[in-house]
Amino acid sequence: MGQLLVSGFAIGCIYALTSLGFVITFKSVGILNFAYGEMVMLGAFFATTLVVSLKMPLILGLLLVMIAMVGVGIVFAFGVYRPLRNKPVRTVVIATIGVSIALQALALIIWGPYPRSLPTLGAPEPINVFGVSILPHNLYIFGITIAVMVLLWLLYAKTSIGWKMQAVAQDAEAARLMGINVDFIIITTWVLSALLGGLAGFLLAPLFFITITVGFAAMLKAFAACIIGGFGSFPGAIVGGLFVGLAESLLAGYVSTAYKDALTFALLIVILLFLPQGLFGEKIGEKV
Amino acid sequence: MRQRKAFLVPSLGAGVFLLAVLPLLMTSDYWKQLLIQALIYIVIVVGYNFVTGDVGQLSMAQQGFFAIGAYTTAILTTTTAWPWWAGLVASIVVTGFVGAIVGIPTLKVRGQYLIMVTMAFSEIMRLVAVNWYGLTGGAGGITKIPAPSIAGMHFTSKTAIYYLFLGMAIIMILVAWRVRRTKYGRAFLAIRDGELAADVMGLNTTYVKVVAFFLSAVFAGVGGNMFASSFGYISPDTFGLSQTVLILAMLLIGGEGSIAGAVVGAIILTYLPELLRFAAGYYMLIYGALILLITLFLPGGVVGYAKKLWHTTLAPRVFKIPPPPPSVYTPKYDARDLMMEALSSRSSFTKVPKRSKAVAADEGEV
Repeated sequence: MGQLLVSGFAIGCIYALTSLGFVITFKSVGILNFAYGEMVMLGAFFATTLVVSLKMPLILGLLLVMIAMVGVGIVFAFGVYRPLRNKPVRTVVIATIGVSIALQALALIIWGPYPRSLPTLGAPEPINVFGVSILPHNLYIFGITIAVMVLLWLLYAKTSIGWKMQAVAQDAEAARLMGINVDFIIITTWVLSALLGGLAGFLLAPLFFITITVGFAAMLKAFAACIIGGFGSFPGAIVGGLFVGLAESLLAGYVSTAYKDALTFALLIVILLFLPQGLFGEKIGEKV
Repeated sequence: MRQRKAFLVPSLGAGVFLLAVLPLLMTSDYWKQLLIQALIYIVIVVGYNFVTGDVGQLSMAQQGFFAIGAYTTAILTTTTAWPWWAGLVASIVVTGFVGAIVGIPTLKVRGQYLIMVTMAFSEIMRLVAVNWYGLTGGAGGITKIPAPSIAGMHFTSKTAIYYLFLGMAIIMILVAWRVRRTKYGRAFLAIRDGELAADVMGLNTTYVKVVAFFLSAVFAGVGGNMFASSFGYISPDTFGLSQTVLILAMLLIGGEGSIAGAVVGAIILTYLPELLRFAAGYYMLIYGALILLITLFLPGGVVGYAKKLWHTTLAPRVFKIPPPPPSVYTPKYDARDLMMEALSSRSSFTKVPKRSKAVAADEGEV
């Protein structure tokens, strides 16, 4: 039980990071980014190239991956967001799926079809805490996730750039009239999304073998987490991510390993039947 | 009108002749197989158009229904001695039933919630196909599915299957064409253009959406039966999320909301891998980029663009067909503007803006 909770919580933390990165662009600029998973994939592949192929220390690798993800975020802001900003949601969905397919194909050309992996953060041997053996990597995941959440909260609640981001998310036009550089804020949002995705990919790489499809799988889980939490809500994304991670782990442990994904999705449908807006969804009336 | 008829009859005749001789022109079984595949996708995408094109609900469930239809036929015709047509009936009944059952709860949710729920449904179907070894043969799939046969006629050659499926596809297209002219067809469009307005007019929108979902599922069931019986082998790999993407891309590239668009999109994306064969490893890259570019620059799809081209350039300039006379009543504002005007004139004496903020915001929103 304890074992399942710890591993579920670790995966849940990664899902929470992924979900935050996924939902942030939707909340700020209304783009449902189906190519988001490829940011996770790129983060993981950059990490394996830097750490495994170029033999860099993990911390330096992480730093360089983050710098690369800033670039990815800027490319997305100009290459994906700008042409799609005023398009209907179905166009955005299929167009970002197109981007996702193209990026996966690109990754296949660059990194090849063979699965890659990354060494764990900390020692590879588990340590014993109150009778539960925990991989040090999982402890790093907990620490990094909590640190990222505190930083994000500080960014949003305490800094002027965070306030500006909230203002743009509420009403971009009014924000522009208040003298906020909306374009810069939107680019920042995309960079933040890419950073969260890349970080999730970096933390995911030691746990799974990384192939070109890892991103889409991660995005699907993040999407499910955001929906359970209530789409567009940051606390919802975090709680939803932890929920999906724990549900997966417990269902695999107590019910069936083979059916854990199917059962998690079934659980999602059941939750939506009773809470059509998710856990933290805004109960908004329909606009006429 | 007479001009149009004179134009229509020969082109229809030429079309029928072309469809009839097509398999005779194809020398290899591979090319005939592609023809069959195009017909299967036509049926699936024409059905998908009900939910996503006409009603405007972005559903990712079509490939789940496709899987159910294919597996129903495959399981019944391999494990029991059921003939092909009984498998077809069973596929229709099962997918229709599941479509209605799944449609009732899921269509109450909207937007991104609907996308997720329908994706989850399709993924559950695939995962069940992978893991329920006793019923579905697991990841290895089901082999030796018998070819179509009716009343002692066995459609074993590719050419025979092509003619059979051509007939089925035409029947399904006619069904879809007919449905669009019933009260349901009009209700679909009413929901797409303004769900709340349709609701206020007394339309049971959830019921109408379930009908659309049911129809989509039945078409996918027929497509599943065609797929299983013509290939003779199915496995869960066929029914992954990339299949959903392909079906959605076919509809959007062809032109959503029209049967012709669904047909054209299905044909284009069936043959695209062949046209881009020279690209080899770069195919997926080009495919992804094409999806992005077509959705960005041809918002109405290929058929929408062709219609626009016809009305603006070809008909008046090239074929010298006079434009239709203007309709008797040309509304100056749309109904919503008129309503806004009526509402606001009661309480305020300021001039009503031509487009109120609520209308503008509504049009800009998701």
